[in-house]
This record gives sequence, C-alpha cells and structure tokens, in this order.
Amino acid sequence: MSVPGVAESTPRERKSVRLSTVLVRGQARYPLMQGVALVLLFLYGTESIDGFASILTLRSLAVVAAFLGLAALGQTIVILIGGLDLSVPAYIAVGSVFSSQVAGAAHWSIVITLALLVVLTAAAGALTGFIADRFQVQSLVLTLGVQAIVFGILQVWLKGAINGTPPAWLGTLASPATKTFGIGIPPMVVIWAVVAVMAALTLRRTIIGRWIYATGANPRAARLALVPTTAVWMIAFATSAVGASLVGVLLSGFAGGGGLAIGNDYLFESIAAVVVGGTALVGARGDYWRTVLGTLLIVLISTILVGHGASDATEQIMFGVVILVVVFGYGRNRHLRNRI
Amino acid sequence: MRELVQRLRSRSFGFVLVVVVALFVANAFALSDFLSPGTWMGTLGLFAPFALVAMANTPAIISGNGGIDISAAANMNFVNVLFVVVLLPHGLGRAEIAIPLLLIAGALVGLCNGVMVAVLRYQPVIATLAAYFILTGISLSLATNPVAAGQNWTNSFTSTPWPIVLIATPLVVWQVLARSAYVRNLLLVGSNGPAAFSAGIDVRTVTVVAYTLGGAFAALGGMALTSILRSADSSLALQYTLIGIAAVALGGTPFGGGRGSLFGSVLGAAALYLLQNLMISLDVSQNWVELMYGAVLVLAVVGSRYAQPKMVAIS
Repeated sequence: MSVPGVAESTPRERKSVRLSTVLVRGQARYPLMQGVALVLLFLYGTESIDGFASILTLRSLAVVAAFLGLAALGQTIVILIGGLDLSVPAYIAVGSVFSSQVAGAAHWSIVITLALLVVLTAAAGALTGFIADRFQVQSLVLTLGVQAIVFGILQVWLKGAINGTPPAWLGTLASPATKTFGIGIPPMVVIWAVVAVMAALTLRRTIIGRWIYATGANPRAARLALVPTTAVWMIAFATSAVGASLVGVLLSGFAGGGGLAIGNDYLFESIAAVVVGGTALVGARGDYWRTVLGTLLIVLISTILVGHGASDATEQIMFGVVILVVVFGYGRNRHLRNRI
Repeated sequence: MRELVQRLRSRSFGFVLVVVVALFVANAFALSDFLSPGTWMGTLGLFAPFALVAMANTPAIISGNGGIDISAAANMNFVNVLFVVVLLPHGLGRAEIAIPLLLIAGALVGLCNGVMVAVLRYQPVIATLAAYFILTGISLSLATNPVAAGQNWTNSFTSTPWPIVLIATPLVVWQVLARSAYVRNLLLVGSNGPAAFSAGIDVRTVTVVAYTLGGAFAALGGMALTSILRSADSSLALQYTLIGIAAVALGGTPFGGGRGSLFGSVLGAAALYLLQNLMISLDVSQNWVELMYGAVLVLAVVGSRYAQPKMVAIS
C-alpha cells in the first residue's frame, strides 16, 4: 500500500520544486510580488474602507500617483546608472515658482516660460551629471549640494515671498475631476501613461537605454566598449531635473499656488518608489515599470492609512513598517556566501 | 612645506583639515570674541550636535555594501524627545539614570538597523529610511508640538566641559576599538564584504556592531541637542540628516565604504559649523546662506577628490 503512495509523492514533489524555481526566476525577471502586494493592498482597502473603490477615490489616487511616478522617472534612470538624486525637491520648487511667479505674476507666455524652464533645468542637471562623472564624486553628496544651491538661488531671487498664482488651466489639467477628451480619465493619468510607455521603450529598445544599463553595470567596461558614459550621466541627471521641474509646474496647478516646500515629501518618496518597485540601488537592475508599481504601492499605502483616520505620526510609523514588510518579500540582498 | 602637503594628502581628511583651519582663522578675524575663552563652551555646545550626527553616520558608511544610516538624525531627535517627554516627567531625569537609559535606547535603534541590514539583508538605504519614518513618527506622537524641558542637567552643558566629553567619547571609543581587531575588520568588510566573509571574519556581527555604535553616538547627539534646544522638538530630523551626510562626505569618508575615519567626520562637521557661524556673524542674509552652503559643499567634494592621491587604475 505504501509503494503507490511513494510513487505518487515523488512526481508531486518534483513538480513543487519546479514551481518554486519558476517563481524565483519569474520574480527576478518580472515584478510578480509587487503585483501581488498591490492587489492584496487594494482588496484590503476595498474591504476595510467605505467608498475606497469608488471612481472618485480611484481618480484622485491615480492623480497623486501620477505626480510621484513622474517625479520618480528621473530618479529611476539615475539609480539605474548607479547614482542617487537628492535634488528632486529643489527642482520641483523651481517648477512651481516658474508657473506661479513667471507665468502667473509676471504674465510671461506659458510657452516661453516652459521653454526657459526646460532649458535651464536641463543645463543644471547636465552640469551636475558632468561633475559627478568627470570628478568621480558621490552623486548623493553632490546633489545634496546642488539642492542647497538651487533652493538658495530661489530664496535670493524671491526674497522669501511668492505672490503669483499659476494659470487657471494648469489647475484644470492637474485636477482629478477633469476628463480627457470626454473620457473619464484625468489628463494627469494619461500624461503619466504616455510618459511611462515612452520611458519603457527608451530603456528597452533604444541605444540610449542600452547605454544606461551598460554604464550602471560597469562604468569602466562601458567606457572601454565606447559607451559615452559622461553623456549618459548628463542625460540621466538632466532628465531628473527637467522631470522634477515639470512635476513642480503641474503640482502648483494642483495646489493652486507655488511654494518652496511643495516638493519636500518627494525627497525620500521618489527613492522609496524606485526601491519598493524592486530596482536595486547598485545600478543596472530594474526598469521604469517597477517604479510605476512601486509608486502605486506607496500611494495606496498612504491612502489606506489616511482612510483609516491615522494621525500624521501613525501614518509615518505605518509607512515605515509597511515598506519593510513589502520589501521583505523581494527587495533584499543576496546572502554573502552567494556573492563570493 | 612639500612634506607637509604630502602628509596632508596621505590622510583621507587632509583636505578638510585645511578648510577647517582656514575657516577657523576667518572666524577669528570676523568675530572679536570667537577666541576669548569664555565663549568656547558655548561654541562647542552648539557644535556638538553637528559633530555627533556626523559621527553617528560614519560607522554604517564605512561598513560598505551601500551602507548608510539615514535614521541617525531621526534617532538623535528621538532620544531628545524621549528624554524630555518620557524620562523627565517620570522622575528618571537625573544624569546618572538618564544617560545610561538614553544610550541604551539609541544603541537599540542602531541594533535594529544593524539586524535589518546584516541578518535580514535589507538594502541599508531602505532599512534606515524605514527606521527614519518610524522614529520621526514616534517622536511626532510623543511631542506633536515642541515641549519645554525645564531645569535639568543638560542645561549646564554650555558652562562646563560637557560638550567636550560628548564629542570626545565616540573618538575615544573608536581609538580603543582601533587597538583591537574590530576597526580593521570593519574596514575590510567595507572594502570587500565577500572577501572578508571568505577570510573567516564574522561579517554579520561586525556590521551589526557598526550600526549599534552609530546608534549610541546618535544618543549622545540627542543629549547635546536637548542642551541647546532646552525642549523636545520633533521636527529637526530632516535638517540634521542632510548635515550629517554632508559632514561625512566633507570629512573624506567615501560612501563606497572601507575607508574613512570618525575624526574626519568631526572635521567635516566643523567645516559646516564654522561656515554657518561665519556667514551669520558677517550678517549675510539668510537667503544667501543656503546658496553659499551648497556651493561650498560642491566645491569641497570636488576639491577633496583632487587633494587625494590618485589610485593607479588597473586597465
């Protein structure tokens, strides 16, 4: 009687081993656990909070996620090449000041304002990337300095006061209630989706994308393979600066005014979105889709916490705990014995 | 002269030492009473939180493998709040009771960080970032608004040599550890973790101890912070986090790990403090201070790359 039992158990066990291998390999290639965590958190939110799955909540959740997701795009690229960008809040402030002060109070045409903004922030970002690569300084520290310089320039320029409001159409564009061409999706979400597809295609299908991964994996090998690594660093930081400043323009529309502190929450949240998504800080491992998932996870977590009426303090504590729980599943380093 | 330059270049903190001396001289010229002995303790008392947050950051960064302690300043702030809001009202505020309790609290936070990084294998940035959020959350729930501390032993910090004791303690501990195998092991773990592991070093314990030490140093910082604030204020973590990172970088400790020193971090903190002191005393508008601060930071990190002897590239 026991013989058939054994005979039966052996193939089953083999199958289960195979399944786990498939899962581990799958996780290495695709953000499976992130997706599972997202679905579970969403179900939990729907279950425990009234009206969580309503169209209204979902729209505002998606718009908040779009801001963070767009701000984390440049951060993703910078982390892929092995850097870290702490100047995101400063460039968000620049964008909000341009839209409320230059386009709002000084009545410049929005086209000229945006063109000037993009040119200036791209130049500043490119210069940062150039310095980081040319002088081999830690981007973490360099961008900390850049952040202080940019905030300093804004303070000297404005003397502490912002007295304009951004153009009204910006508010409409950034509002969760607005429809895109009559379809019930806010324009911010459409913008984010288009940017996400473009970013994913650029990273996967273009030479610049290949350069980014090559530079992040091994800068010296990349240089020897004639990858223009300095240009890659300049592109990465310029993307981050331009992206953050445009998020600042949209955020000021959303909030109805600019402010120097408007982007402060994005300092750590943009990094958390990338890492919670599963992109490793060592560079070259990850992509923008993971950041999209990480962004949705983070926004979902804070929405659920707010929905449960958590105080500011409780929200911070739970945010830290949930990040640890979520990342425990997939975002950890390998054991030392496997790294020799 | 040439020998001196070479000596300075051979030290990771050689560059920042020159910067500190220059800023010190500038301060002495700009402020008439900067050198008078009566103001020393006051100056050191204000400087102590800068120095201690920088030192609290350093062991984690030396431990390598992306090691960093983003929660150091939040830990310092947490100890400050813990002392004023919990220990003082419960009659545990006397120095001989409070100091050990606060040190244990800070070290426990560091221990948790170390366990998360070395045993649970979280990336250090994520582990300590989560700790940062949790600690600021706890501080915020304990002291939603600033709470006045009242009369206690930390008030006397500005008139007695207390600040010297606070700043010197980590340096002495580090020197003692440098006599043992610990610091050498830490440097090896930081420069090449897998190699240290193959050589039979207990990488886990070394890393956990590094984070725990950082936590204990942060607790000393919390005491220094209490003495200058005379209250519990839960909103200072972010500001000191950035100061701590900048000071370590200026002090010549590379973020890749495996090199650097606690003394360099103190010098880095001194450069930042003296710069701020100089600009305030010269009546530079607050708007310009941040701009200058950033410019000096950028110039200093670029400059310190040049000041160090180049490694010979193997290619």
